Amino acid sequence: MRVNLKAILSLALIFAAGGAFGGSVLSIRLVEASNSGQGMGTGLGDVAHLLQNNLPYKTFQLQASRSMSLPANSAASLSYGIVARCSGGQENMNVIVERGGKKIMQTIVELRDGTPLIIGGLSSAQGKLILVLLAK
Amino acid sequence: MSKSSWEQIEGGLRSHKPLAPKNDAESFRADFKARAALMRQDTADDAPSGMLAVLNWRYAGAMAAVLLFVGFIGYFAWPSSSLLVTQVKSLQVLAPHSGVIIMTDEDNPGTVVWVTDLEPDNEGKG
Repeated sequence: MRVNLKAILSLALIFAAGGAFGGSVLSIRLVEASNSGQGMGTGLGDVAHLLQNNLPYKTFQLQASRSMSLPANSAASLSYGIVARCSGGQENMNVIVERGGKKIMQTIVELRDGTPLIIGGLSSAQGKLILVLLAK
Repeated sequence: MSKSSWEQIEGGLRSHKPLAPKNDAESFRADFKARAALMRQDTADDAPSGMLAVLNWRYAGAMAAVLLFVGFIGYFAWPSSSLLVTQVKSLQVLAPHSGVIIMTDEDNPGTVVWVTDLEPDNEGKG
């Protein structure tokens, strides 16, 4: 009985400590948002509601997708000359967005498992470009 | 044939006298001792008391179980809690822009960072 209780306590500690930051892969997607047409492109099903309910665009098309292992320490080259440089673990991840070799923005985030971070506002021919970062 | 004296007869009878049956109290005590010997008997030193009892593994396990239960209920009943959503600790926009909006969607857990009028000179590039 005592062993079982220790196991329960250990599980509680593991759940509390690692439940939100246990991801092993960081995915980075580049999405183009516009009002030409209507619909959600393939590969965006998991963030469809988040995009549609928060951004004033009707069409979302996946332009590029990359992934890296966590903790991150590499750069993801996407289309439109955009590069996302990520470093650090989920609790304190540094994200630098570059375009054409020029640093556009830098942010430090606490990236929770399964809850995406949307970074948007970069311009494109059709509308706006959006980065979707997701740890799993 | 020798003739026994009365004293000898009395002594012989006394030595062969059957043992007196135990009374109820004695038999109960003997039975109790026998049963007690079969079960674990904690000493006073072994029994936790006061704060020691709280720190006992048994109580810690029970508390952990309660925490697990509350945690799971909280996670599944209110998955949109802001504590479970990605947080932006700092943000620095180096390109020309007019403003920054940070939104947390609690219905569809996620965080949106939107930079308005970013890179106006790049408008139309693709």
